Amino acid sequence: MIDCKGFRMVHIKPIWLLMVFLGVLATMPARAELVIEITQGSREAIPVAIVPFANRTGNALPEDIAKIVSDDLQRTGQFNPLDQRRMLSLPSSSTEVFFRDWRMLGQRYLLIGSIDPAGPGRYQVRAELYDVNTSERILGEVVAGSEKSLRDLAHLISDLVYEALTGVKGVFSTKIAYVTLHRGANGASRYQLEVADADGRNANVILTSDQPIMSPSWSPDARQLAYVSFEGKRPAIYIQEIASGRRTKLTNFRGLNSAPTWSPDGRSLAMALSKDGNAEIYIMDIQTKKLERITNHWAIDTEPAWSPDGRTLVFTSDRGGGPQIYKVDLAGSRKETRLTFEGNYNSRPRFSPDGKKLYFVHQRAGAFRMASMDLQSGELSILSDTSLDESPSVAPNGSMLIYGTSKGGQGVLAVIAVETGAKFLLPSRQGEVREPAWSPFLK
Amino acid sequence: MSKFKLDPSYRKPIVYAVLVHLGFIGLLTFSWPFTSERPAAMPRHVNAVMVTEDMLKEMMAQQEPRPDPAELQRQRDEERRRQEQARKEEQARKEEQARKEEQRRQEQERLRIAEQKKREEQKRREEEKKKEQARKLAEQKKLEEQKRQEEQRKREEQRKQEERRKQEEQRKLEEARKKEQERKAREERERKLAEEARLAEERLAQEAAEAERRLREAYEQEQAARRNQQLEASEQARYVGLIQSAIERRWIEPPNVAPGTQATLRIRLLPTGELVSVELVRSSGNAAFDRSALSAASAVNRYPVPQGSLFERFRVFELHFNPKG
Repeated sequence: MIDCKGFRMVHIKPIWLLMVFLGVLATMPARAELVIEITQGSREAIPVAIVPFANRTGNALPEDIAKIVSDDLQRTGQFNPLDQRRMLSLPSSSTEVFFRDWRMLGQRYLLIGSIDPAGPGRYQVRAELYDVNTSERILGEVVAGSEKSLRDLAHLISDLVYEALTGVKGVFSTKIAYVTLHRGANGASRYQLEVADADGRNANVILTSDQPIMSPSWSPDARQLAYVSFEGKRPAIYIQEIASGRRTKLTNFRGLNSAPTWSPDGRSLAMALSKDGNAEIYIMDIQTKKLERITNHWAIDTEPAWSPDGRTLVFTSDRGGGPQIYKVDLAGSRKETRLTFEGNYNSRPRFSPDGKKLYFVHQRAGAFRMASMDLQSGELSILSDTSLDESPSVAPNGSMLIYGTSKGGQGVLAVIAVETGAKFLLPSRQGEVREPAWSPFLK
Repeated sequence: MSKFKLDPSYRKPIVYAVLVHLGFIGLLTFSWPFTSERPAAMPRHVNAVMVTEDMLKEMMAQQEPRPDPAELQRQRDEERRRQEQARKEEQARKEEQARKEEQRRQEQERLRIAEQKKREEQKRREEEKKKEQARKLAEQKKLEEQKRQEEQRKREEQRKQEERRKQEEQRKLEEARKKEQERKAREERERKLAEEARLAEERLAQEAAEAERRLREAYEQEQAARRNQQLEASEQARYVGLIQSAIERRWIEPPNVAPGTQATLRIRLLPTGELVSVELVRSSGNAAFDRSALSAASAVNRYPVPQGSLFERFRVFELHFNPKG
């Protein structure tokens, strides 16, 4: 009877038992703390209010720091600075900030600051970055400099803000080098090698020649430039210290001496020389001037570029019938491998700082455009919509690409924000501008 | 054909047979009157009429036609001779008669003897017959007796059989009765057992029903709770979705974030949905990413939260920033 009972007990109720059990089970996970997954955010430009910095110097200042910072950030395409005219207040210290106002304006971050005198001819710039939503102060920096360095201070503030909000080091304080060509009234050409701020301002001529100057390349410490100069009627590769202007001629071989690029360790230059017949890639030890031949091909091999780890060189070669990009592994077998297969013209390669992408000139439908290729997938993307693009150079944080292009028959410099696709032209000046080279981070 | 062809070896037997048959036929033919006479019942006393020769002659002469004279002579001669003859014959006849008388007497005697014999025989036969009859009777009696005995025996047997049958029947009956009793007892037992079982079952069923009812109630409560929970869950899911979209709209994903970068915030809310605090529980290791998440979480002026008890689920919760791609 007991067995029977047990049997019956088990037989009738499992459904209910199970249900109750399941019910209990079902309720269990609900007891854990609620976790809400956020899997995607917007990629919109970050709304940031950059309030004009309070000038407490008593002088009219040559630079509007807030404007410089605002422009810097805006050009990245990642920020959407608030128009100053829409601001309800212009606070310069935390006590003056009403976050609610900024929130109402839909702002995410707020940058305020002031410029104070710091001794004769010197200024102290204080900047504070707030999170409008949390009301937290993210940054509080004080930088000081001369009146002349106000732009630099502004770029520095831009860098700090950029890094605070994107996690990526800003490149607003970096430089660009480029070559300009001025044609005089008498028909004489004047070539200039210039170095300017990354925004194209504050240009300094470091070399002038009536003969072409080509292929400037920054040393990793951003203190020297290597370039090709035809000043001796024959191309020669020089290294020039920017600060002092001191130059060194590295090569002056018969034939081609071109496209020097600095190795990441700063000890060598890769270059293209035709001293042995046709253009081949060589590496020169800067200290010893010793040359090492890398390629040996009947075709033209030129425009070498180093991978960020210094183990690979990429270069342009027409060994396949047209210019295509190849790589050679410096550490191992020295095997040369073709990298580009799309289109019949790919040249002047440059690595992204993370070594994952290659930027180069790609011809498509008769137009020469900036392109990037994912080295892992081989996927090629066209970045520019201009048509005579040349000489890509990547900002050291990888966020921007500068290149030469043509506008109204004039050579100009253009920048593409790689992440956002934002494009802008650097302020045009007289004459042609070409062959930009983005500097490394300044030490 | 050859069927009727006589086998030579049969010839002799056939001849014998024919002869035998003929003999028998002859015997039968001649013996018949004799034998038929015997069974004829002879009268004990015979009234014999003496017929003389003369009488016979006269009878004959009366019948005979008249002869001619020569003939008559001759007839006279004849008559004389015949008279002579007749005398002689008379004598002979008398003698004969005497002999015959004797013979008849003898015959009578013989007949009488025979009769006697016959009677004796008859008597004997009768006796014999009687005996026979007696024997037969006896026999019959014996047979009858036997038969009777047999019958008796049979009857006895039958009786016994009947007896046995009856006994058997009785036994069977008894058995059946016993069986019936047993059956009844068993049935009774079974009935009792069944009853017990039924009762037990009923009790069990009741218990089961009770247990089931309790369980069902529990289940229904559970269900109700679960429905409530489900309702709450769907309500919760709704608010989770609202919060999600509120955050995602406000979260500006920093660029260049390494894949797998994740951060977790703990959010504390007032029942009004107002933010009490945002706390970074797990940092992504990327300050900008953390900041973007904190900013997004803080950017929501008033969190969409349910009213009432369900709010409790939202009083404190986590936001897990886990961008895909």
